[in-house]
Amino acid sequence: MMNHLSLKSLAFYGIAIGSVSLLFKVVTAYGEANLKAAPAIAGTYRFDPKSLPECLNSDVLVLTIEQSGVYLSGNLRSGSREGREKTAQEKPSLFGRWETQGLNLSGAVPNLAGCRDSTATGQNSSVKMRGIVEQESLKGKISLTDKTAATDFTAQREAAVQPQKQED
Amino acid sequence: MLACERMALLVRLWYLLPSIELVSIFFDRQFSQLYYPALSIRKNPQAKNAMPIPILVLLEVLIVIALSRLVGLGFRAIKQPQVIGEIVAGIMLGPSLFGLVAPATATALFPAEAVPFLNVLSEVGLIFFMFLIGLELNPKYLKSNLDIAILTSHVSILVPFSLGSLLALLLYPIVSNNSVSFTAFALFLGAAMSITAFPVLARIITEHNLQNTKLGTLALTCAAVDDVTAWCLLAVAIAVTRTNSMIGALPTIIQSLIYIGFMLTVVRWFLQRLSKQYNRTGRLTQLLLSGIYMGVVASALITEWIGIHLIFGAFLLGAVMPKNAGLTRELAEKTEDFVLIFLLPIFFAYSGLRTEIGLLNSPELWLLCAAVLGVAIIGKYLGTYVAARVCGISNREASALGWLMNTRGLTELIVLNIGLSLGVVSPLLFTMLVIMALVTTFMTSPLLEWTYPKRLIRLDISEVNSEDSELENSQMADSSEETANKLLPTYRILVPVANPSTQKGLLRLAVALAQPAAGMGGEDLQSAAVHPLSLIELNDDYAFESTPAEADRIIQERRSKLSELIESLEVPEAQKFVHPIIRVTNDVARETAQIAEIDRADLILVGWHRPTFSSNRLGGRVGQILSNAKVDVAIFVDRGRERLNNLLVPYAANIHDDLGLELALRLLVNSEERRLTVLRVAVDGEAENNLSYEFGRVMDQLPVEVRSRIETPIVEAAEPIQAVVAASANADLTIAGTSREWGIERQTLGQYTDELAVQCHSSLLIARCYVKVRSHLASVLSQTTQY
Repeated sequence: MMNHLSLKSLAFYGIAIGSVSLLFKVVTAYGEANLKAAPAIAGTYRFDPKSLPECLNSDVLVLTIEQSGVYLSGNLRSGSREGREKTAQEKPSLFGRWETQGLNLSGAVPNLAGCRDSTATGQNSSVKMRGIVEQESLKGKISLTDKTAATDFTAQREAAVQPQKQED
Repeated sequence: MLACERMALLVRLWYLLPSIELVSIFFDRQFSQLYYPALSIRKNPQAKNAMPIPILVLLEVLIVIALSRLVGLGFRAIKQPQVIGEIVAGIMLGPSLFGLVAPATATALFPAEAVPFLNVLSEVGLIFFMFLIGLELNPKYLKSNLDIAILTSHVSILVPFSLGSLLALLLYPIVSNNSVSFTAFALFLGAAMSITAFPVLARIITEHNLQNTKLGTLALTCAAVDDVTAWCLLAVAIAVTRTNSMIGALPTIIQSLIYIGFMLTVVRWFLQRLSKQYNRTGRLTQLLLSGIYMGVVASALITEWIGIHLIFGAFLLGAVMPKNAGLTRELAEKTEDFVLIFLLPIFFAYSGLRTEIGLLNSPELWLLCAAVLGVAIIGKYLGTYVAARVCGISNREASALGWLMNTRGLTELIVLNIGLSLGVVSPLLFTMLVIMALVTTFMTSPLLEWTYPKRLIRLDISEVNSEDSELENSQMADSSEETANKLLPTYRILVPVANPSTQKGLLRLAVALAQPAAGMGGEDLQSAAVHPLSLIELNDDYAFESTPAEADRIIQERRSKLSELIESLEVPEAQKFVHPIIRVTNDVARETAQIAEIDRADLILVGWHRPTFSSNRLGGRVGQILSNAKVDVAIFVDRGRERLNNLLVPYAANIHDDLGLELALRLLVNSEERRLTVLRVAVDGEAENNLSYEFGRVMDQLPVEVRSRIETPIVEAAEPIQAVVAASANADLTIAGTSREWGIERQTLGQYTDELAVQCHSSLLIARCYVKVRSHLASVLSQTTQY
């Protein structure tokens, strides 16, 4: 038992722990100063759909975004009472990335009844969204991929997905 | 199954996948249309046919438990820890599999509304599970190799931690968001990389019977030190995350230290008084148990209030419980069943619901995952390996130690879930790290087997087990009263003894086969050894009894029972040639066969016992041994005869009967009082079966005195079996080979018929000779036959 308290061992532990702590300090200093992560934009956004094209023009639209850093996934749903609660395992149908210019999401909208039947082939039409997040709102352009015109939209963030942090 | 057959099956299954998908989509739609109104509470909770939440949660729990058990058993079959199967079952229930294949049904069964309730149940399960982990942490593990262990375990934390922090530089901009500070992120990632799952590791060690070897004790000590250090690191990481800075975490850290001090002093003293109380009464009353459970919850709440997580309080209380065998064991036994079977799988399911393998949908993400995995493996393995080598541990052992320390399993999952809940870890990173945890744990057993195969383990048994002299080397090293010219045994009999109290007859027969009876005189020119084999089957993979300390205790108990049995045989100098082997295993037949091979046994002598699902005496475990073992096997059906003096061998000139005859002759030679009758049966006036040439030669070699005790009558009978049965009325022991004549033949599917065993009047020894694969045909035909 006394062996590991010998001067040599203590010196070794001291140096090892010291150097790792130093490395950690250097790494965190560098990281805090130079590395920027994507802003937290995960959450639920409500649209005013009056200005939206085609089948997206239902009463209320809700966009749910899940974020893992720069990788985004999401769902576009009808915002009426039925579709309000997000299910535990709703498969995201929109995928995209966060870039410095803003977010980029595209994919199918299987949860919107209107859009499912819109095309002749019966396949889901897909949407493409680009936007930036300013405070609690998301502003950008949305288009159906088989139509060329992109329309402006604004959405307000509702319940953001906040991590539990200690309150005191 | 041969490897190529397995591959063919996998390829066939792969091509079936699209059809399976179509079928599942079809059923998914049908199911959800039928039951959606009932299961759905999205629409209107007040609706008549909506399912209330408690019912839904119970349904979910039912599914979770059933699937966990199923998949857990599957993983045990492929020699992996059961708990990994349970983790995979949880992932399967989430969006990674169930949600992918049948999204509507998955949504109906696991809606968002029910998830908080699963969360509550899983937190409760986690708290009590951590309490159990703390209970198992025994300072006994720290007693040996402490200096090497501390060095190795510290390096095995420092290296992955550093690499994890460096990896954070790469990952932070990609998978994290700015609500988390880089410091917290790096700290968490470093801690996640440094974890070693002590519980899973302890079980792997017990299953490989390493707990008394140098490697095993070192690994356990390292992992114990590692575990405690990693939990401390995690506590700091949580504190930093919650306050988002190192300085801000300082009060939390100080409060934690005060609390730990309080627990280690005041509470421990109190618990020691309690355990003395337990010793007096000898049982764990409900009052005492309720007090302890309240303590667990209270301690958890205190640490949560301090700012580190709930689990630490529960773990601490378990750790400070006095390691008094009785109280701890009973407490563990009372708590573990419900926690491990009911609550822990819910935690895995809850975790699985948050694991979305579908998020890794591009090659670059999989590359990132591979990078995480690589860093984790390199950090742990290399760190441990180098540290161990520096301490002078051999190359092979250091490598095995590295793989063992790489096990992350369950503990990692706990850490990751905390990270996800705190928001430090994003869903994508969470999934990657879960994959990392599973892969690293999955690879431990096979890699351990590869670097440190079982035969080497036998050589490494430490001095405590010097009576386990099943290997020549360890016998040579045994420097007790043996003289230098002690002969190594040239004939070894392995005797699986399931229940020491009831197999006296079996052991007596083994001893009679091995050694000349007392009073025969003469030197042991051909010394023989008998190895009673007691295999402790650990069915419950994760129970308290499968921890190394407990396994040791059970092994000692068995050892003393076996010693008692050997004493009761009243054979002089039994200790010289009877050497028990006691092992832990989860597959008795396979282990028996392996030990027979490693030990170079000449014969396996196994007792009969009635198998569970059939009445065939040669089915069940005995049948498995017959199929797996590559040595001659003899099965003893004991009818309780004290003396084995009148031997009967029905003979029909085949290899099995030859073996039976040899065994009979051995018994004959070993005792002057024995008589042998070699019975030949002529059916329908046929020419008699000639004694085989071999037998004739053997007979010629026997001394006259022995030959004079042998009779070789020929009996005419329509049915050979009945003739033998009739003759057995006058015998003490009938020895028959597994041949059709005597109604004991191997059928097509490998089962044996056992007609003679049922009807025989005397005790019966059934002999089966092992014939190696016939290599002439193997290359031409794809099958191999084995007698």
